[in-house]
Amino acid sequence: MSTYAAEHHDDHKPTGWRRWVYSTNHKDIGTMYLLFALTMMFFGGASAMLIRAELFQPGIQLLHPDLYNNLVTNHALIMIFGAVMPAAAGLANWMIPLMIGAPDMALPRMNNLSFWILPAAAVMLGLSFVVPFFPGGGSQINTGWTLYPPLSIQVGMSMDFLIFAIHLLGISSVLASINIIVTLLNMRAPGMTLMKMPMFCWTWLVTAFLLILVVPVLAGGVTMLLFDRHFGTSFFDAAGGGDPVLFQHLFWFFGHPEVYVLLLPSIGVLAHVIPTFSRKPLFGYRSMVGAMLAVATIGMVVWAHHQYTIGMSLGAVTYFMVGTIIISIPVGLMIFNFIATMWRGAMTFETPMLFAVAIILMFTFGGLSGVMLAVVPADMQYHDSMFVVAHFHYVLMPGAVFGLFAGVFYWLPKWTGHMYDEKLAKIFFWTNVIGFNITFFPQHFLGLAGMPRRIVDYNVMFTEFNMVSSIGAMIFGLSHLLLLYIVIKTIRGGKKAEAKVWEGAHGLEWHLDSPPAFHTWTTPPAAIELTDTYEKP
Amino acid sequence: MKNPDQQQNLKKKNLRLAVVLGSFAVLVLLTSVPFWKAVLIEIAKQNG
Repeated sequence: MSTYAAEHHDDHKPTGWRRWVYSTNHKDIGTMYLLFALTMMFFGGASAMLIRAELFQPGIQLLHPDLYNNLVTNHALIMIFGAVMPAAAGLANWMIPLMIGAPDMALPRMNNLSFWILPAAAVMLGLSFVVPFFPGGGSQINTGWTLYPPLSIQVGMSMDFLIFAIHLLGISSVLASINIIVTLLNMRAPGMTLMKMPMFCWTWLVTAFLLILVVPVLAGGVTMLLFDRHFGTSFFDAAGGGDPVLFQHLFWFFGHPEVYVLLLPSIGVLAHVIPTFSRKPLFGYRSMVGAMLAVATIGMVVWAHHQYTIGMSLGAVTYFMVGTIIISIPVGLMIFNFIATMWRGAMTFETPMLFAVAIILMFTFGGLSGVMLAVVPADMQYHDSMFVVAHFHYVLMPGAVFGLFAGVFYWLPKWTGHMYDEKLAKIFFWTNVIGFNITFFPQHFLGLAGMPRRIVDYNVMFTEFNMVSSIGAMIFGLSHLLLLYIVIKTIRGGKKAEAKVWEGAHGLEWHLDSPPAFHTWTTPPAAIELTDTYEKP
Repeated sequence: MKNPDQQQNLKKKNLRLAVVLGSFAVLVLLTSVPFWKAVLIEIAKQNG
C-alpha cells in the first residue's frame, strides 16, 4: 500500500523514441544512465578479460604489445568514465528527487543534455581505439589512462579522439554535478533541512562539488596537451622549456579526488542498505557527514602521493605522505559507523546486504594496502608494480562497483515493480566476490616479487600467480552475464514488489508505489513522512 | 502543487545557482595557473 499512489491525472508520458531522446524525466534519464553504464561495463570488462588472457602465461600469445597497451588504456577509461561514473549518476537521477520529495531534477533539460553527451563521448572513445587499425590512423594509445607526456605527445591521431572524448565526458560530469547541487540545495521538501537529508544525497552533494572543482583542471591539462601536439606550444615539452611533470600534477590534482568521486556515492548506498538490513538507524549521521567533508577536503590536497618517484623535495614528500595517511582516519570512522550500525541489529543477509558486508571487509583491505603505498620509502619499492594494480582494484571494485551493485539490487524492485530472483542474485554475489579475490589477491604477491604493471610479457618466475589471476578473471568477468540476466528477468516480470520493498527500509522513496508513477511528488510530502528516516532525530 | 508564481521563482532561483556554479567551474578551468603562466611565457618568447 502506498500513501502516494500513482497520480494518474498527471501520469501522461510520451511514447516511442521521443520518450527517451527528448526525455526530461529524472527516472527515464536515470534508466538511460544505468543502461549506458551496463553496456560500457561489458566493453571495459571484455578488454580486461583480453588483458588477463594474454597474461595467462609468459610470452606473447594473443595481443600485439601496442594493442595490449591500447586495451590497458581503454579498460581504465571505459570503466571509470563510461561505467562507474554514469552508473552513480543513474542512481542519483533515479533516487535523489524521490528521496528529497522533489518532482524532478532542478534543471531537467540540462539533465537530458548531460546524458546525451555521453554516447557521443563513448563514440569518440571507441574511435580512439579503432582508428589506428585504419590506413593512416597512426600509432595506438600506449600511455595508460594517465596520458603522461612526452609519450602522449608522440602518439598518433587516436590521442586527439581521446582528448576530445575526455572533454565531452568532463562537460557531461560538470553539467550533471551542477544539476545535482541545485536540486539538493533548492528542491528539498519543506521541512527537510540539510542535516535531515538522506545520506545518499549528502554523498552526492559532496561528490558533485568535488567534480566541479577537479574536472575543469583535467580539461585544462588535456587542452594543453592538445596544444603541445598541434599548435607548437611546449607546456610539457622539456626541449621547449616546458615541464612534463607539470602534466602529472594537473592530472593527479584531478585523478586523486576522482577516487573519492567514485567511492562516495557507493558509501551513500551503504548508508541506506546497512540500516535497512540491520533494522537500526544509521550510527553517527553527523559524524558521517563530517567525515565525508574531511575526506573530500584532505583528498583535494594529497594528489602527489601518486608521484613520489619523480624527485620531489623531502619536505614535499613528507607532507603528501602525512596527508595521505591522515585520510585513513575519516574513512575509518565511516567504516566503524557502519559496523556500529550493524552491532546488535536484527540482521538479515539479502543480496544488497551481502555486498555491503563484502565492501566493508574488502574495501578495508584495499585501504590498508593504500596506507602501505602512502609510506614513501615503501612506495619506492611498490611503485608501478602489480601491487598497485591489486591495491586500486581492491579499493575501487568493492568501494565503488560493489556499492553500485548493492544499490541496484536494493532499488531494482522499486524501479521495476518486480522482486529480483534472490537465489540467482546470491549466486551472482558469490561468483563475483570469489572471482574478484582469485583475480586480484595473487597480484599483491606478484607486485611484491617485482612484477611491473602494464607489461605484455613477464619473467617465467611469475607464471603461477598470473595463471591463478587469469582464471579468476574469467570467473569474475563471466559472472556479470548473470547480473545482466537477473536485471532483464526482473524488468520483464516477477513477484510484485510492494511500495515498501524492504521491511526495515525508511525514507520518502518507500512511500511511493513500486514502480513509482511517471511524475512523483507533484504534491510535496507531508511532515509526518519526513520523520521516516534512517537517522536518529 | 506550488502556485505559478512560486514555480517561476523557483526556476529563477535554480537558474541563478546553476549560473554561479557553472561560472565557478569555468573559473577553475581558466585559473589552472600553469596554463596562463605558460601562455604568458609563450607570448613573451614569441615577442622577443
